[in-house]
Amino acid sequence: MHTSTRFVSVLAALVAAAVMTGLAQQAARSTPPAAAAPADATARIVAAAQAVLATLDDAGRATVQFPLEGPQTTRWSNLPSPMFERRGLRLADLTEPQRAAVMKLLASALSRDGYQKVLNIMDGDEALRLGGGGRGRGGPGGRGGPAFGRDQYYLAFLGTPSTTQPWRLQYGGHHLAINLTLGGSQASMTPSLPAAQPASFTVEGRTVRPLGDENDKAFALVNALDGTQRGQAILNYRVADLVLGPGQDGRTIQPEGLRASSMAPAQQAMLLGLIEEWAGIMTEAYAGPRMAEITSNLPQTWFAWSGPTTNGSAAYFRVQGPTIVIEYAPQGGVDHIHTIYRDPTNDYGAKLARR
Amino acid sequence: MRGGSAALLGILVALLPTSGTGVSAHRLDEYLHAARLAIGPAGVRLELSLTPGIAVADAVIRDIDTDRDAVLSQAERRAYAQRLLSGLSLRIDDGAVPLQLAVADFPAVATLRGGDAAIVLRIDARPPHLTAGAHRVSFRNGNATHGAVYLANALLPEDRRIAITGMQHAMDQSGLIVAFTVRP
Repeated sequence: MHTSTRFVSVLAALVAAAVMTGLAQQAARSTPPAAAAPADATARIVAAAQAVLATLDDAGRATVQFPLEGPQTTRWSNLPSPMFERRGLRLADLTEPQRAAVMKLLASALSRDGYQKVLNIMDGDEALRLGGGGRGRGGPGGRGGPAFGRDQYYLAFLGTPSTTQPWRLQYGGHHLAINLTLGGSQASMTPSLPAAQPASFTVEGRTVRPLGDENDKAFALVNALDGTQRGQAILNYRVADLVLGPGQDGRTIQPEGLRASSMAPAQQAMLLGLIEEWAGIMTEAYAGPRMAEITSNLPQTWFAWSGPTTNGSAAYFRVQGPTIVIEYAPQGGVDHIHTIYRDPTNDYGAKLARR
Repeated sequence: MRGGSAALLGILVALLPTSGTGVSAHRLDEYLHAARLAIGPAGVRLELSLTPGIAVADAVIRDIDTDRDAVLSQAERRAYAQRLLSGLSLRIDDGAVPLQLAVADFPAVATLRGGDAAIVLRIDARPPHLTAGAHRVSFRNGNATHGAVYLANALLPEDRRIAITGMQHAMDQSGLIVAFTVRP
């Protein structure tokens, strides 16, 4: 075959493969699961997980499967590979059908907005890669600098996917960690780490801000406070990073800032709307009960802020209550954001295991 | 399983960062000192996590590995931990409290060089007698080499006899004052 002809054929095949992947992602984006009873949601997620397993050979199944309790539990980070060594099934190593099955699983486990947030974070990492941010090989045994892009995300199952017994879906890579623990009709999605760099980019002319709603809702809330409330909410010191980020499991810090009990109902509603940006990542069937729990503890929930209050500035904030910790920490500017979402009483589904 | 397709998707999807961002900026050139104070009836347990970014990790390693053999010996670890301790101060009310190193965990050199691993020191500060009533802990971290940045927080007390009543941070969090009460 002539070189140019072969090139065209290869390119056509590559484009076709890429289109298939795009269609699979698009299909998952456009057909979110409808709200369901929690047990039904678990059954749907388990079926999607089993569908992933069915696409794998023995080596693939061995790669994705881990014990429920063990070092894989805490093997997540905001850092790219191989700066942080992840284990599990890497998207780069999957065929298109395998990858489509993984994306369908994520769409089943997450809400429509939550799934879109995950895609946006991955798209942001792709933008970082195309912008020259990541030229390393990534992955186990990778050499050179950090590797960025959509291929560098990992899936792991901790425990066996089951409709009755606890197990965990772990998915993540650079700037993303989802730890979804399921136990029958109960679920916990903490700790999780949605982050973004760049925080704003364009896809086909459309501006994408993976954490834009989080940012805008927080600025709206702090600007809705009166002078006395701001005096309590705004900390008089700089917060350089997440306090309870990766590696800080099991710790609870003394809350600071403004208690929600000192907020007006409209401000409380704004706070709940902000919280929902994290609590609503998991599928609606579980996000609803989770928000009800958080709402019941709202009077004991605190909102703290560090930094300027003009939207577009780099500012840190923290939401902390009996069953929730959220931190939002710009990394030196507005275009690189780390966040953490925890439940001090139920990280990794601790309460599920006790039931 | 086979190779990935991100490059192919790049052909179809034009992803253009609007802000011109390039290389990741994960605290590469900073040395994060994260202090957590756990206050109990017997005193304060201070945990100090020290994470050198990848750009300063070699300089930190040189500070520890004084014989340059690329191994952090027990003596070198102990000496470095003691140097760090000498840069810390902790007072309860008006009295300085001696700091006793309880645990010093050091990652291997190669891990530390990765820019994400933490040296963790656990330090006990036990005053002679913590009476019932109001008290104040004043913590200061004077270690400032290699682009040090600071976090300082009090942990929620596990003992119900302890209640934190106020906190005051230094602007850069190199210092923290915690007011608390002890119930009999």
